[in-house]
Amino acid sequence: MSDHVDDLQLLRAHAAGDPDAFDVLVRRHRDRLWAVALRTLGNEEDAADALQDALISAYRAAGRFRGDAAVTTWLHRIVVNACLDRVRRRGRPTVPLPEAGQPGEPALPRDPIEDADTSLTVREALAGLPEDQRVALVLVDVQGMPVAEVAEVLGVPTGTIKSRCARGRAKLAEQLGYLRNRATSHRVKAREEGT
Amino acid sequence: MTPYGAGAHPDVELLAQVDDGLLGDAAEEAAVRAHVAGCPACREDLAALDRARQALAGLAAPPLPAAVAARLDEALAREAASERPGKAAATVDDRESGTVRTLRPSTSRWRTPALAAAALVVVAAAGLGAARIFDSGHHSGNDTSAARPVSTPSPTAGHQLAPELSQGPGAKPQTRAQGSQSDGGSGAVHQYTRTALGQQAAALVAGRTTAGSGPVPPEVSRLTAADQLTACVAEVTHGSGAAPRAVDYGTLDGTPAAILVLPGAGDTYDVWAVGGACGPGHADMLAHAATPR
Repeated sequence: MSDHVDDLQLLRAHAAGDPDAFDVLVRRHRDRLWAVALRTLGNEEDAADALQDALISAYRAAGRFRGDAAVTTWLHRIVVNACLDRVRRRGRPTVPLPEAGQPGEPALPRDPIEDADTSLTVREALAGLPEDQRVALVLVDVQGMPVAEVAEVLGVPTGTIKSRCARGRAKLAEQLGYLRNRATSHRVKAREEGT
Repeated sequence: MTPYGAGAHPDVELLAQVDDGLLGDAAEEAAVRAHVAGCPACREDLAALDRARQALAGLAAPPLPAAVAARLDEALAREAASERPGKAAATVDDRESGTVRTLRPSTSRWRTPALAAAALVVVAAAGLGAARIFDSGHHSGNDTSAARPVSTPSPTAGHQLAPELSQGPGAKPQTRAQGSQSDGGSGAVHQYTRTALGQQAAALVAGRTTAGSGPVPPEVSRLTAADQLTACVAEVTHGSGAAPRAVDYGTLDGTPAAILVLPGAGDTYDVWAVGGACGPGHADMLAHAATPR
């Protein structure tokens, strides 16, 4: 079972009883799926649980895969759903964030030393976003997945994905104190979701 | 969406949408762009949005930790085994009581000696936190460091099971030492306490303590045999077929004990400390605790 066998063939082979096919498929994609789960859930333990749930679901559901999406899209959808299940079961945000600062002030104190390594605060800010925005940003900006594919993963129109990303980035820029120039908090307003 | 009033500062979200070329309204987009072209403040906001995007793109994706990979392999192997009942013998031969206990196929996620043994195969962990958790047992009990995740990224932090399911059912039970090269079982006996049992078990499940890495007291060593352990777990769980999330050996307040961490109700783990006589008809229970997952 080697690399030239494509994902769909592997999934079909698994559904037909090939004992190795699913393993090959998983090994091919699990690093990316892990990254999605980790960035969506914010900690390794939840991410591992979600990924395990997702892979077991995929293992069982392979026979029902209709092939109307790419296998990777289908796998991502299962992983994202497992993550959202876990978020809802957990019933609390991954990392609570402080309220935005007063108008005219950055939301978080800016420390020139911290700027050298902002990954922690970026992760925190990401974790503080509403889950729909967070998932969209994880897939589009962190993972670099095309918007059209993300729309397929999440089962919503591309316009919805774009608007979630735009709102998420705006909030993130504010939370990270990137929007320094003017009073900003009143500019990032809750909007009705587009499309 | 609120229509953009020409001349006004567009809000940041609107800027973000224009920046992405996704406004879908050419006239509105042109009006925003016209404003931005003459507005340094809005251009700074655009730069800030771009910075946010770059910050996200720069969130390096860590590779799948080896311990998690092993756990996923194990879960899938278990799933595969449950699909092939002919290959996975679902019985535990109990010579003492003369009965053969059948683990329920539909719910058992851990039903063969090989799989049972797999639960004992322990990750070669960095050993991070092992000293810490047991230290905390010696102190007042107020030390909550054991409950905190270690901040140092560890390739194995997070999960404890690293089974290699290379053997079929019926293979000889593996011993706990396999896979734990880094600490090899030669360290201090893992000392659990009744007061901190839940916390210590949580550290075990989170991989902050390496399960099975300490010496096994002879009184409980028979529970390192997979079939004995399986029978003990079946007794403790009343045959629910639940698979331990972690198994460790050491002492509980000085008494030799095996520590079994099992999925509990809701989002909890059930932690059982049992003595060396644990088996069919007699759980040899020393202590029980529940701890949040």
